[in-house]
Amino acid sequence: MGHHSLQAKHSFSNSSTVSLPAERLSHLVVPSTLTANYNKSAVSKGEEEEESFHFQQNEQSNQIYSDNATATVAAVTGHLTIPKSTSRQKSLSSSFNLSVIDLYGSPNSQEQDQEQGEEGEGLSDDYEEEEPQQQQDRKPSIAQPQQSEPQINKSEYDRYGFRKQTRSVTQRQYDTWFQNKYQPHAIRRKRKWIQLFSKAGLATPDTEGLKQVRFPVKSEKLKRFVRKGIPAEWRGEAWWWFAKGNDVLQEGLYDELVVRSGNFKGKDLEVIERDLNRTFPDNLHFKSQEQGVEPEMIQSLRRVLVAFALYQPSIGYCQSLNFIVGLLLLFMSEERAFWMLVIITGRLLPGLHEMNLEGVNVSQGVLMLGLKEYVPSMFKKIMNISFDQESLKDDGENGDGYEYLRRIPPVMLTTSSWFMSVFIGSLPVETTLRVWDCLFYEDSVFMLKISLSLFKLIETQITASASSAASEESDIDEMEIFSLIQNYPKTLIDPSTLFDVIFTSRNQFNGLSQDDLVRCRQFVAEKRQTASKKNKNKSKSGGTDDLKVSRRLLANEDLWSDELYGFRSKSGAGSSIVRWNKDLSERVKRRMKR
Amino acid sequence: MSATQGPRLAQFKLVLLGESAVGKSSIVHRFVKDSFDDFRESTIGAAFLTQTLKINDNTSVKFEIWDTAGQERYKSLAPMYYRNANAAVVVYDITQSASLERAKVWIKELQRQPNYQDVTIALVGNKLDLEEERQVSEEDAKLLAEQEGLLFFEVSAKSGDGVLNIFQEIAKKLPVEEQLNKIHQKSASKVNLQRPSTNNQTTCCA
Repeated sequence: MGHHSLQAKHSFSNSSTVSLPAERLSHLVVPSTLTANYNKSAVSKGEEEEESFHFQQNEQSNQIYSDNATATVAAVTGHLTIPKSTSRQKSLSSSFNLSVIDLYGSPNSQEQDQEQGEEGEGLSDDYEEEEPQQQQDRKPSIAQPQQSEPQINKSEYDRYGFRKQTRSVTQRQYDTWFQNKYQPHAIRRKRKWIQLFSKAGLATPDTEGLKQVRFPVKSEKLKRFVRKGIPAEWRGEAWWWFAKGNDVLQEGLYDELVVRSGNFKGKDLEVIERDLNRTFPDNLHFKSQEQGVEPEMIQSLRRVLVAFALYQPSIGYCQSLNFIVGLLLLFMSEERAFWMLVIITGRLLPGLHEMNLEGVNVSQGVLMLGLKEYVPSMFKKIMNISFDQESLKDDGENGDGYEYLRRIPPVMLTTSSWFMSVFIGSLPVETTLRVWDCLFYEDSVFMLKISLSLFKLIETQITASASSAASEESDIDEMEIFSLIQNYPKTLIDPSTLFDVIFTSRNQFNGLSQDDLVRCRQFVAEKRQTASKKNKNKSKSGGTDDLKVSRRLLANEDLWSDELYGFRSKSGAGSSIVRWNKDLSERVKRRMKR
Repeated sequence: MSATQGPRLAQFKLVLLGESAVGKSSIVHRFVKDSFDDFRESTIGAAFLTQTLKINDNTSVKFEIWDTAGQERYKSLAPMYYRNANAAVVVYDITQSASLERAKVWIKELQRQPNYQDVTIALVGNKLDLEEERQVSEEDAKLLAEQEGLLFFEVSAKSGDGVLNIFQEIAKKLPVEEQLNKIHQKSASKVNLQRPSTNNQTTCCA
């Protein structure tokens, strides 16, 4: 296969990774037969189409679905269970219906799993990828409803332990979308990923005994793969790899910091304590199961946050880091979560969590510039509701037309949380995770692209409501705009709603590069810097800190930008096991035993 | 004349300020949704909600509420939410005396705003349901409020005690008629309900 030899160039001759024969991999592959058991039309379309299929538009199939709910759920989920370990399943369900790990089936359940072909010819997840021929003759096996269902489909909680129902999404909406659309998508994507690894001559991250996890070389194809979602149980490894965790990792330092943090005192400590139980209070792993017993996740969260405050005094603790670390901990070890936090706050979101939050202002200034360029109608609306023209004219002394970079419009208070907590809480969980996948792969410019995409979608919403009201363009109420910007993203349960915008090449902002972002940040930082210099001369208070951080922002960029993607890694640093699965399932097991 | 006008709606912007975890978001949610969670996620940046309160037969006040993050460093974003605020609710936790100190800082901060005179400010002690853990006496806080010319309340977002009252009392202080008259004048040329901006346009944000 010519394709294969091409890939081989990129594989590592001296690495310990071995290419595993297909049958060794097969136990990881999830049968796709579930699609045969319900509304086939929804699935047998090509993914291009399918990805833009929204659960709201699928009322009819929902109906079918719910009519046969019991049978269908069983059929859909028959393959997704852990057949061998029924006893554990029982204990899982008897406790809190947690099922983070049985979306694909247990790695041990080989007798159950067999590699399945794609059903239908048109199903191409990757628009131009060629399908491996050998798969096409496989017949889908029959689903086995007698298998106990994974609890995930009955549970109030999703596969990460978050409550499916939020203030913006009902559980029924979630279940309908997840079972009809996202679960099949995730299963399909995992199969694709396995093929990708195999073609690249690499073992998948969850291969037993694997010493060093490696991902394929960066390419347009890999970028597309990442944009379509990294398999959830590989996320920890993938984020670490793509964010180049091994480059910042200083072995042993985290443990040292944890020891030292015993003596750490200060205001930040109190704020951390107050936030611990306010971090994902609806997530099972963060919730106390027994009165007076602190969940292990909360203890981990405390250790990482305190260690970080100690390590990075210019940031200390900033509200929002609790969510970032909390999410990281669902996918990786404490030590890695700690170093990922170093990467996120230093390289990806520079200055955003610093003492005076100047990086927030810069990020929002950049977003305003982006809006002006790429979503001008929203820019205009925001300007209209934020400033009256007179006050803009009067800012005279700078008089350069960039007053909105110095006086960030109030509506940006909402969007600032998009950046500060990297969309946690602003987007539904699965959608947030997809953003994170791309953020670590594509760097922080992706934050801007997602934000602009959100505004594109919000713009559509506004146009829809405005045309029905037949009102003038400027007449939309400020409050409506605020509400939309704050609340609409929370309804985007289906990541494809958002990612379709990103995939659309006619949105020019998709061409933005990291360099563009860096330039933009510098521009905004400089504009703000001149203003704060002037302010400093005028008044005694304020200004100086801003100046310092703006400078650091510029310096930071020099430090981090233009690094080539490398494969530097320390031997043994990689984990051979899927941390996400293992840690959580271990924890659950331990909890069960109590 | 009001009888012929039908319902009238005045709109005001209100910000919540105070130390983290004193219960700002809980107070808002009690007021807006009449609900309470023992653990509420920390607010990042700011959250925005609205609630309309009827103050008499044909007049209502719509509050645009900016609920803010409590950590000190978020203060640097404060100019964004101060802007054009008509009312401010400064919250402390009656079981944490440090939170009253923080409230004092917020009050000072507000007093430095050029449009301070136009802003109705309430000092609110929350967590009245934890009376047995009280660290701040009602008298002390009340005295502070009187000295600074603020409205004063003790409430429990958990039980709901006193929460509605905060907003009713604030509504009484707001220049409702003044705003409605302005709208009335404006509506002669254009039917458009706009939020009144404070008189002095240069006031906002340093």
